[in-house]
Amino acid sequence: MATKLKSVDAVIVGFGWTGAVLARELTKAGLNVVAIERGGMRDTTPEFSAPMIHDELRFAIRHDLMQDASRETLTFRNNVNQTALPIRRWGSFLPGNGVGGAGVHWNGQHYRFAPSEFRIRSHYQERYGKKFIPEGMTIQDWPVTYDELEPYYDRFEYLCGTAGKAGNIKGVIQQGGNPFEGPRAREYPNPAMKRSFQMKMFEDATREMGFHPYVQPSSDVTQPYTNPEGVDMGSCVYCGFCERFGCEMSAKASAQSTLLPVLLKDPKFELRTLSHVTKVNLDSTRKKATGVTYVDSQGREFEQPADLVLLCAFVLHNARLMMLSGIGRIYDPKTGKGGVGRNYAYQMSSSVTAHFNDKVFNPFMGAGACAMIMDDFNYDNFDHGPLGFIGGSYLCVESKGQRPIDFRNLPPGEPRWGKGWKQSVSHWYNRTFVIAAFGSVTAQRGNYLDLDPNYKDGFGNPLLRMTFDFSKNDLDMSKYCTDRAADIAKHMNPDKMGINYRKGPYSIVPYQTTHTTGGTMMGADPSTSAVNRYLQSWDVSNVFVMGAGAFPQNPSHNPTGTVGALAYWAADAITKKYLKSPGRLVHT
Amino acid sequence: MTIKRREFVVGAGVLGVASVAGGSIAPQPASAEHAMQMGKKQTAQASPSTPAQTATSTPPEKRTYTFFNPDEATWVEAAVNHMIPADDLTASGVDLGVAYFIDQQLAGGFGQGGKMFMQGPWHPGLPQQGWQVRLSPAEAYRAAIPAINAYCTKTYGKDFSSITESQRDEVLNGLGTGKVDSGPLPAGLFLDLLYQNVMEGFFGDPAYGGNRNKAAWKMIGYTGATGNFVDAIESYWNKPYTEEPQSIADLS
Ligand SMILES: Cc1cc2nc3c(=O)[nH]c(=O)nc-3n(C[C@H](O)[C@H](O)[C@H](O)COP(=O)(O)OP(=O)(O)OC[C@H]3O[C@@H](n4cnc5c(N)ncnc54)[C@H](O)[C@@H]3O)c2cc1C
Ligand code: SF4
Repeated sequence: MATKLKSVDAVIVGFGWTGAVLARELTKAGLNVVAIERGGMRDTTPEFSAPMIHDELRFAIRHDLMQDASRETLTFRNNVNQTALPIRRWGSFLPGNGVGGAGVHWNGQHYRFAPSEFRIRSHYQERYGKKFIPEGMTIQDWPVTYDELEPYYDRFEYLCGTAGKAGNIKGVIQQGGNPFEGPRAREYPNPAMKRSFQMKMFEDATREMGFHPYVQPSSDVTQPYTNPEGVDMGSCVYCGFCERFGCEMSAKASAQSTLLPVLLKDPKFELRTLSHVTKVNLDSTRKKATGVTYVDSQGREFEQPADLVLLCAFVLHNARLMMLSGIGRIYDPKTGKGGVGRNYAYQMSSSVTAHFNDKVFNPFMGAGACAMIMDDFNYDNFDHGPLGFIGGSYLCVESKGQRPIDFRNLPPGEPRWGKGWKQSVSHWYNRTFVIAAFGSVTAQRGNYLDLDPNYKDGFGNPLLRMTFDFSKNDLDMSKYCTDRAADIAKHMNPDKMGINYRKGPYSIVPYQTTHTTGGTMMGADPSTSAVNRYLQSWDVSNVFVMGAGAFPQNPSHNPTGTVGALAYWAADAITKKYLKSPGRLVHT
Repeated sequence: MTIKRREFVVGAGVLGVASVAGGSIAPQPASAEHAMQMGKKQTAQASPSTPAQTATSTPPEKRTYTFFNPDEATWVEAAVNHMIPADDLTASGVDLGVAYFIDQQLAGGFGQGGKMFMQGPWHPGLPQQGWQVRLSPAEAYRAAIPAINAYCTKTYGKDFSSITESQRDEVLNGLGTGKVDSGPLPAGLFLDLLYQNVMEGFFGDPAYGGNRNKAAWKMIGYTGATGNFVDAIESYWNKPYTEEPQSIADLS
C-alpha cells in the first residue's frame, strides 16, 4: 500500500533539463514544487572533478552516467512484422539518469530550428505542390510558430550562456553568422567558440565553394558568465571530455551549472532523488491527475498528491508514463488514430573521412560544441524539386575531442589489427578529420512507440516498445547530403578519403545520436496528437509533457535549444494562463 | 593443453622502443601475467611520473589473472598479441597489460553483464537488435574459446595459440563471417566483443591495467587525461602537440 504524502502544488517527474527549467519557473510563480528523480544526486564537485572525470572507458564506453539497462530498457523492432526484443545494452542512443539528466553529458550544441520547419507540411505543399509529400509520411505543422517561440529561445540561450554569432538580428543578416537562421531579437550572450585547424580548413573550403559556414552555437561557455538567474558559470577549456562526461569547469550548461544553485536554496523547492515514478494517478473521471506514485530506494511506495503533474522524464519515459497511466489514446498504426506514441522520429547521421599525409589536426583538443557548420543543404535551403525528397542535413567538422577507444578513423581498406594496423593508426590518428552530416527524419505512419506485450521492468510494468526504421525518403536525403560532404572533402584535396553512408535498416547497435523525438507530439487536433500547443495533455488538463517528444518530426538540428524554449513557453502558459483558470488551454 | 610459462620483465618494451624492435613473439603461448613482476617493471622504469614506486618499503603486488583459467589465458594472450604484436611502435599487447585488462573487466561488472538487461523471453533476434544471447560477456568468452580451439585443432592440428600468424588471421576473420564456429554464439558477436575489449585495454587509461606506460597514447600522439587546450587549439594549428600524455594517476 502506498503511503500518501501531503499534497503539493506541482510535482515534476524527472529532474533533467526540462525538470530544472519548470521547477524554477513554477517556484518563481509561488508554487510549492517537488521534483522526483529516479537517479542520484550529482554536482560539479565532487562528481565531475578532474582528472577522474577524464576517463574514456568509464564514462564514454561503459556509460557510467547513463540509464542502467538492467533495470529499465525498451524493446525495439524495425516494423510490425518483426518481434520487438529488448535493447540489452545501449548503443544507438543513451538515455540519461540522475540529477541533471542527459543535460549533464550532452555536448552543448545549441540550435534553433528554421522558421519554415514549424510549418513543414504547408511549406512543402506551397513550394512543391500537394503531391510532393508521399503517402504514409505523417509530417505535420507545429501548432506554434518560430516567431512565437523566439522570446523563449532567447531566454534559454541566455540561461545557458550560449556562445555564438548571430546570423540574423531582427531580419538583418549578420556577417559571420548563419544567414539561413530565423530572425533573433539580439546577439548571443557570449562570443563564439575558437576554431581548430580542421574547422578552419572546412570554413575556407566551403566559403570558396560558395557556401555559408558558421561556428556552431555552443552552450560550452566561452568566458566567465553570470546568467540571468545570478548563477556564475566557468569558461570552457576545450578539454575534449565533454560528450558523455560531466563538466569540471561549470562551463557546459546543465541543470547543475545554470539553475540548481538557486533551486537548492529555495524553500519552495524539494528534490527527491533515487525515487522512481511508476505512474501518474488519475481521478475517477480520468480527466484529472491527482498526483504520482513512486518507489523509493528501499522499495517503499509513496503517493505524492499534486494539483499539477509535469512529465520531464525524457522523450521515451514521458511517452511510457502516459501509456502506463492511461493518459490519452495510444497510437495504432493500422487506423492512424491515437496521439500517444505517434510520429516517433530520430536523426540521420553519416560521415566522410578526409586523410592528409602532410597535416596535423591534434584531434584530442576540443569541446562538445566546437564545430564549423553549414546549413546550405539543411531544411528547405536548397531546391528539393528535382531531388524528390523532403528534409536535409547540416554538414560540419566537429572538434569534440577524439578519444582513441572510440575514434580511430582510418582510410578505407586498412588492416583492422596487427603491425599494419598499428602503423596505420599511428600515422592517421593525427592526420584525419571527419565531415559529418546530421539530418532530419520525417515522421512515418509505421514508426511509433507503444507498450511491449512481452517484457517488463523491475516494477512489473511493460517496457516501452519502439517500432522504427529509416524511410526511403530519409535514406535518399542522407545519401544526397553525404555526397555533398564528399564534394567538400574532395575540394580540400585529401590524400585519402572514405564515405560512410547511413544505410538501412536502422540498427540500435552503433551510437548515432540521442536525438529521439516524437511520441508525445504537440498538435492542433486531439485525435492525432498527445498534447496541445502549450504541451498540455489533451485528455488530462493538469498534466503537461515536456521534451523533444513534442516534436511532430525531427527537423535535423539538435533538439535541446527547442526543448528548452518549449519548456519556457509551456511554463509561461501554466503560470500566466493555466493557474488563473485551470482547465484546457486550447478548445477545439 | 599445457601452458608454457615464460618469465620476462613486463614492460621491457616500454623502456625504450629499440629493445623490442623486431622481436616478434607472436606465436607464443605465454601465460605472462602469471609471472609478471610489477616490482621489477616499476623499479626499472623509475620515471618521475610514477612517484609511488620510489620510496616505498612494501613492493607492489604481483598481478595475476582472476577470471581466466589457464587455457583461456593462453588463448587470449595469443589473440591479444596477434592483434597488437610487438614492433618498433610498442611492446606486445600482453606486455602492455591488455590481456590482464580483459581478465579484470570480465571478472567485474562489465563481464558479468551488470548493466545489461538479462530477462527473457529470449530469441535470436536480428543483427540490428544487438546482443540477444543469454550469456554475459564473461560467459561468452568462456563459451567461445574452447569452440575456437576445437576448430583450430580440427583444421590445423593445433590450438589457436600454436598456429601460424596467417592461420590466426584466417580464424579471426572467419569469426567475423561465421565461417569459424564460436560455439553457442551468433557469428560476429565474439569477434566484436574481443576486438572492442582489446582496443579498450590498449587505448584506455593505464589505471585499468592495460596501456602500460601510456604506450598506445604515445604511439598515436594522444594526450590522455590532460585536457586543457584553451590556448593550444588555435596556437597548434597544423603543428604537432608534443607534450607527454598524462594518465589519471599522473594528474592525481
Ligand atoms: C551523449 C548525448 C549527447 C547529447 N548532445 C546534445 C547536443 O549537443 N545538443 C542537443 O541539443 N542535445 C543533445 N543531447 C540531448 C539532450 O541531452 C536532451 O535533449 C535533453 O537532456 C533532454 O532534456 P529532458 O529534460 O527531456 O530529459 P533529461 O535531461 O534526460 O532528463 C530526464 C530525467 O528524468 C529522469 N527520469 C526518467 N524516468 C523517470 C521516472 N520514471 N521517475 C523519475 N525520474 C525519471 C531521468 O533519470 C533524467 O534525469 C545529447 C544527449 C546525449 C545522451
Ligand atoms: S569541453 Fe569545455 S564545456 Fe566540455 S567538459 Fe570540457 S571544459 Fe566543460
